[in-house]
Amino acid sequence: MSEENAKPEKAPDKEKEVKKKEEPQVPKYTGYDYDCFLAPQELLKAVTKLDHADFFLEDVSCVDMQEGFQVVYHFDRFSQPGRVVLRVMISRENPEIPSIYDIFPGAAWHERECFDFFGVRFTGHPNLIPLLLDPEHQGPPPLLKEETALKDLNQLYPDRVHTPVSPDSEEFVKEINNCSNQKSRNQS
Amino acid sequence: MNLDLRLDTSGDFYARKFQPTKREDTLILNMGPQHPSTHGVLRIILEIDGEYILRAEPVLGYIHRMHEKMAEVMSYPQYLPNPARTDYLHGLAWNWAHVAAVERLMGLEVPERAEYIRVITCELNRITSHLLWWGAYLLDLGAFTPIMYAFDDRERIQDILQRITGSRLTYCYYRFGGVSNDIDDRFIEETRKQCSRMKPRFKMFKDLVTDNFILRKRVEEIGEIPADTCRKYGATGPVLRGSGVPYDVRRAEPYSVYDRFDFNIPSYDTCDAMGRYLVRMDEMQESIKIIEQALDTLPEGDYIMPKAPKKPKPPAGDVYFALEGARGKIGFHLVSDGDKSPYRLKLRAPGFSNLSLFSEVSEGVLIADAVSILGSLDLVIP
Amino acid sequence: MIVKSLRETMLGMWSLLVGMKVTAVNFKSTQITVHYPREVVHSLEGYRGHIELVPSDEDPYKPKCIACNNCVRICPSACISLTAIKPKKKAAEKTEAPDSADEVKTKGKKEAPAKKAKPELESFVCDYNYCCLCGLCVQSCPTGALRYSSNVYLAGFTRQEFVLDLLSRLQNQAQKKEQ
Repeated sequence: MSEENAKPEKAPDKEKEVKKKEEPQVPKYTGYDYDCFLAPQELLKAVTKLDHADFFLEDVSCVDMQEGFQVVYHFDRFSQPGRVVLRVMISRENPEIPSIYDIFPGAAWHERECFDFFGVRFTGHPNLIPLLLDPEHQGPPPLLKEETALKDLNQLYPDRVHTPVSPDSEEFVKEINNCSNQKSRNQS
Repeated sequence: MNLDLRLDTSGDFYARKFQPTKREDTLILNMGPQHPSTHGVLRIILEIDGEYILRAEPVLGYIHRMHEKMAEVMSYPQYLPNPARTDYLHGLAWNWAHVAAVERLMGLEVPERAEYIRVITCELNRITSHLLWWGAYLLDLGAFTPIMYAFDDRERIQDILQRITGSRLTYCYYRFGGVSNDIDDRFIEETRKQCSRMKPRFKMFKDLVTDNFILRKRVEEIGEIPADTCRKYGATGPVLRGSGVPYDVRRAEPYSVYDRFDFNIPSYDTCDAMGRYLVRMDEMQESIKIIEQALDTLPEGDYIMPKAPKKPKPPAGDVYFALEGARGKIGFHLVSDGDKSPYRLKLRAPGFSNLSLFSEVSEGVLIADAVSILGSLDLVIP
Repeated sequence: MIVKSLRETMLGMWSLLVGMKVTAVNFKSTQITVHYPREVVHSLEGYRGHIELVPSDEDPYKPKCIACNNCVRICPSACISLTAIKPKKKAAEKTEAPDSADEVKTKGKKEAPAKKAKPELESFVCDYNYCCLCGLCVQSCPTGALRYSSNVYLAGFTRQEFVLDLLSRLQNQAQKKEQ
């Protein structure tokens, strides 16, 4: 009873909470404790900061949308559980993003998977070859969507800020250090 | 017809891409894809010097089925049978992750009884998964008898689950907002009987196998994975707990009703294959503890919410739901655009991350030990 | 060094003895496996075989199915196909249904006059080759016209044998019952 009630009330940050009151359509539970957009060139800086804060990489995912590819990085922490998600938008014409292999070697396979399914090129990856698909696979990557089926950011993530956050900003550092799912649990 | 029978030494795509070390007089060896110890279709390209491995490169994807693409073309209920197929040993956990992700996105409130049923069945399934791993791992190490004992118990649990869920392996039992069938008194009685039957069995397993001298020689101080390597590679589950980090999603990020049960998170800081082995053996006993507590406190009520959506259309947005499977953290990243099928579904398979650290761990070990390490990672190759 | 290897040998012997004891204890216990095909397992409760049609209460030759196509729509592997006759056309269809299965069906229809607006089921085919046994069709059925069969020993030589015509199966079952 208590846990089920608490979960929908999970509010990653105050900003969202305010918005939720205005617009009840937003999903109540997101599973994210800190959620931010980043500029591609600042990804490595942010990931280094997460590495220093003892986070581990859960997965690297990608979403194909009108603005381009959104590469999604999920991080979590053993000592103080709380999920951080970094979202990086890159263009469809030139899908390039720095590889985080040097910081998290476990990202190597996740990035190869993204390369397989979306054709996103990770610069600096030591071994960017197909992982799950047949190396002789012809045609476009399988998870690309048709032009007509593409949705844009506002359709997929209504009512939220899409402006990139700087990993140097105090807010980012504070958020990742304090990031925890403890807050929502204690409410019950 | 090509009658040139000389050996083609260039190899296939992956063999050509394989970057061997700079040493000379080494041998490139393919282990798999049909090697019995790789559990599924996994191929490992090994560079060996005598019996020692210099470099190992797993090659996977031989039976990749593109479940993520299937999700995009199917409606939510149509995708229900799929997740259990990704991990055929702990299907219910995947089934659960899928329905829970959709439930969270829609803000559905699952009746308490349904949550308890989910906990009980999921833990039973976890025991069967660990039992199979136990038998198969020892089979890899050359002991044939234990798998027979493991299957004795496993089959009994599967009989119990079959009565309720209708399947023995690839379950499709949970529904959005509950479960598809209520459990009855016979299920409860049989589960209790099985739980009390299992307890002395663990003592027997310990006598027969865990304390066995030969096994200890094969697993102790083999394949040491420091906790920081686990973190860098994102390894979770028994692999992580065998490295001394007591991280369990059931405790760290409690979903469902797990916060009401009293259970320990076994962890061993030996970091070797023995640590991972012991974690799984202890986990089965913890699962039994959880099942017994859940059966004691099973509430009355609906097994599925009265107005469970038959064709859910979650609102636009995304959700990440993680839960603890037998192999580690299962993650569902679901992006919805408010339509009847997901816009994008990303599955995080725990074995994927766990396997990716194999090439680092296996450097410099004997081939026979590599088999032991592979087995101790408990892989299900998707 | 010698002490150590001696100790190890003793330990090895001891674990061997313990293992033999466990084996001996289990050797005395009863047999738990079933000697198929001479014996078969008895507990098929909860077994989900391929689907079959449920006969309606008044007439065992007629299915409860109202041809609403819910099962066809929900099936993840698209293995169900059904056709139905609109009630108006019924008279015309009767004359051009020569094969025996349909004759039996029309006979059934005469005995129990159909409700006016209900479409009549003409064929119901389940391609068991593609079925993934999820049971979503059974659950989505609004009239409870589908159920799992307990046909567990299903084997055949060709794929065509698993394209199951469930309507004639229902009629065969009804015939058997009458006899």
